[in-house]
Amino acid sequence: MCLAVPALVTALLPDDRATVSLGGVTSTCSLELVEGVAVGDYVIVHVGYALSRLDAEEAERTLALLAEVADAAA
Amino acid sequence: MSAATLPGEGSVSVRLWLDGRTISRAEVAIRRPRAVAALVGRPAAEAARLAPLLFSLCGSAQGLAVAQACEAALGIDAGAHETARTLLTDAEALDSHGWQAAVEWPARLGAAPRPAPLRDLRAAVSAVMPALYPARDGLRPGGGILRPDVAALREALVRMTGWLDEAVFAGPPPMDAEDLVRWAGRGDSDAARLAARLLAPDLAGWGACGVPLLGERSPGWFGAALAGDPAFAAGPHCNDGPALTGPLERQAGHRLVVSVTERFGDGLARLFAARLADLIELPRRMEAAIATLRPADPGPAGTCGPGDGCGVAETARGRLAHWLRLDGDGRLAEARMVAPTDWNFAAGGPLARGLAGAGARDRDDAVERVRLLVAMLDPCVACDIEVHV
Repeated sequence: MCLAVPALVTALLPDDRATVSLGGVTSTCSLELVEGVAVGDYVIVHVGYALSRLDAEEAERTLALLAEVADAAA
Repeated sequence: MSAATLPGEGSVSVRLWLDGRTISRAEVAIRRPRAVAALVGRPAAEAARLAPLLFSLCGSAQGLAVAQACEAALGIDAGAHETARTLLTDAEALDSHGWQAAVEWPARLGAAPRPAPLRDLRAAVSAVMPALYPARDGLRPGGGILRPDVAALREALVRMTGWLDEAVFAGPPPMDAEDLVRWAGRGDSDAARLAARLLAPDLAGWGACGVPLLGERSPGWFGAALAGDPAFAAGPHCNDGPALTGPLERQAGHRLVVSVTERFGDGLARLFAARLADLIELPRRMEAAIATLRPADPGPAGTCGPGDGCGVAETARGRLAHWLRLDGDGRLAEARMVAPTDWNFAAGGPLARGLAGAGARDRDDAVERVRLLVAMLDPCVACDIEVHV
């Protein structure tokens, strides 16, 4: 539980929003809680809000962990 | 929590059947990946390091529960870190309540979320770890190098209470039911306006579930339950039935909660009062903890396994427990966890029982009432609601 997913910021949108991508799924989220986000950053997204920014290494490690879980469940 | 979710986040789904003006049937189901499986096969220290990444919404509590489980399995005494650890989880709980107050509560009033002020709270909360553990190693098994910077901690606490005073209470917090009614009537914050709504006669006692509180349970109790039954994690039970965990469990004896319960009974008003009581008490607990902090070094290394252990940590949403079994090389051979959402959103648990038999005028009214009750129980995932009329 309490999973929050790192997503790659692919575009910045008006009104402090961004397009993010995760595993080929594209969505939008609010950037109101995180300052200074740029395209190419990873952010932790929870129910439509970016909660924090992750460095690429942490994000990739987390995504690898989540991928292992998905593979195990498949 | 109704925003679109990304893959892997999980969700709670609620299905209702409305028969006239009564919810005749309610089904609640949780869908989520069993992400704890990703920790299996890893050395204990690495598992404790990865848990906060994997479960980042309550990363400190997750990391500490895994660290404590490792300590129990390895025979490591980290008792000198207990106060610092409670401070970390209390700060994280305040941050989590802050999310509710800034995002979820305005939404329940039909208002726009107000996340921007949360930045201040989150900055103050994130200052706690380095003020305790300068190397930010506070979540490692055995504890990190604890060197409390009391001035920095007090400054962080002042910022947190400042946020609470401004964003939630907008004045002295209510301390009993009379206070709560007056505070709600003034309506100086989203929290107060939500209180006014929840104190309405048709809502205050709505959603009463009659489910017992989980209550104090030792790590040994959780360990025996998780180790003895692989299904316990997905379907936890206590005394052969459901149990409720969270602010109400922690604050059932608080003057505000007792008074509100006497006046309004069980239901939405009581649950909200418990959350307010948590917000009142968390800074007080943190202030007391800061005054008693002492420097400490990591606990001495224990055995290398095999063994098993359980760690329990408190989150805003309730009690979190991790159980793990280490093999002879000190790697995790098994890992299981039970989170507050597993208790409160279980099939036949507090939400399901609070909904079954409850009244609603029509489909829209039912959806909004369910959203209020869901917000009070606060799942860590998004919630979808489906009503059959």
